[in-house]
Amino acid sequence: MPRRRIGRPGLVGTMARTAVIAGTASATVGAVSRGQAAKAQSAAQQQAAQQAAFESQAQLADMQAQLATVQAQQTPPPPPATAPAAGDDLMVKLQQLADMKAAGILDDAEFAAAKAKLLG
Amino acid sequence: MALGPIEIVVIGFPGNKFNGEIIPELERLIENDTISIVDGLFVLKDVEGEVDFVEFDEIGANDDAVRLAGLMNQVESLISDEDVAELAAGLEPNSSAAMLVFEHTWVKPFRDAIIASGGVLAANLRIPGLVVDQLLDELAAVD
Repeated sequence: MPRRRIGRPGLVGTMARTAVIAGTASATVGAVSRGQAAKAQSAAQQQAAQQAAFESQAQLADMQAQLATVQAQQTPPPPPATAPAAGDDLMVKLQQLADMKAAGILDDAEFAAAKAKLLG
Repeated sequence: MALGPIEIVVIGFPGNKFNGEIIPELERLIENDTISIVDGLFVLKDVEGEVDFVEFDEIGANDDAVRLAGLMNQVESLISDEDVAELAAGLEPNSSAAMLVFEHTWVKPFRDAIIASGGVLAANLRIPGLVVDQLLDELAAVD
């Protein structure tokens, strides 16, 4: 019976086939494999979370950098040093008042009152 | 009784230098109820890489083959021709090989004891020796 093996199912083929059909390549190691798969998955998730956190930190840093740039652009340039150097005390005080108004420290009425007092 | 776990081993002999020197050890394992050979055949891969196979009891006037045939406690032809082709893939050309299907006989009384004790086999994993060696090397490097 030299050819009784031909065209029949065999151990290796059955193993491969059942693994495809039912995922039971080795039922006995299934528990371990699942455990390892779960661990691998959880490790992957952790990594993904860390990656996301890192990315959001990077984005935050990026946004902060952008904000700083915008603020730098929006911040009024410091008053020209020539104004105080001119020795005009009134002008300096007026400038300070204008700055305070621009910064929102003084409202229009307060600014007007303070200016009126300065100009007395 | 159901069979114990099955293991297929392909013992290649490059250069067709098959000999019966493994037989006494197989006999000892069978005698000790460690294994039982439930299927087996002889595979030839020629210099061209073509694979053919013969049953142990068909080899004829070869004492080793007759002894191997006598060791078999054949249940079925568990290895198909497709299995042979797949299992022979790792053989060098101009090789002969014994394909043996072991039943791990020793597992059966152990399995019965587990069941009798109310235990459940929750996991069972066979680790190749090379993996164990690698782990031991890594552990040695850690310490």
